[in-house]
Amino acid sequence: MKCRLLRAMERGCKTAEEERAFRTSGQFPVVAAGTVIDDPEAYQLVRMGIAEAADAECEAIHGMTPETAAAARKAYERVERGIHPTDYAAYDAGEMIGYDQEGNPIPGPNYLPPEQEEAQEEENDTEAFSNWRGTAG
Amino acid sequence: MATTPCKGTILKTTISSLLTAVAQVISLDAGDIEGETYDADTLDNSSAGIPYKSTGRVEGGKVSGELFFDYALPSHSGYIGLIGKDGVASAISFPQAASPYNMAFTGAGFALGLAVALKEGVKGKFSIKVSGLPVFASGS
Repeated sequence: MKCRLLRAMERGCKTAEEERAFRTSGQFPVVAAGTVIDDPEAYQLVRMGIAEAADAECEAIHGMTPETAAAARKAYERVERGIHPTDYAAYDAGEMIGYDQEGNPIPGPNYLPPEQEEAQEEENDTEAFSNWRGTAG
Repeated sequence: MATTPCKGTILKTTISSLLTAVAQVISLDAGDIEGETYDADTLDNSSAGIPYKSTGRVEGGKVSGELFFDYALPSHSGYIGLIGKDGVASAISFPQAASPYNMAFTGAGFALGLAVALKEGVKGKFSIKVSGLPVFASGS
């Protein structure tokens, strides 16, 4: 069963030379994006959002739609960034993109400072109330 | 003092020959790496203390932890596929450290238990026996 990597991925060291290199650099050997993986579990990589099917056998078994595949790619990116499950919602909302060296969230494109967030909430509440009054009236 | 925040730490195991990140991990414990010793006390030891000496062997310990379990996640079903296998390349990465580092190890004895409690999400308690010695190396 074959799949094609959509992104570069690390693998474990297989030779003494690779292990020596890892000890020196801290970098695992890398398998390049586009590499075809031939493995009985290749469909798992497709389900993870790391790869796409590269033969009919894999295509038949992975069971992903374009939508679920896109969601899987996004979810893997989240896991690879080490996002803690308690912060998944904030990451998905674009409020954070990772953690700094103090363990604090790194603001994302949709981050609102606390004061602005409060003002935004108030604005939303007022709008909701007006809409409700409009409907009720 | 330099400290490494825990958030951002990633557990990786091998699925289909690649190191892949395990989703929804809540906590990790990579403990019990210990040099093996033997009791080297003798009858003529004048001290009350018991001396120990190293055998030169090291117990690699195990990596254990908790995650929010979901069988539909490939990294979780893939983990189940590792139970019964050995020689599995695995790692814990600390990319959020000021100087990022990795702990690479060979996994054997993969174990998983599920915990279901009324006021909690379903959790998986996992452990991986470290075969040989873990290797720590700096690098992202």
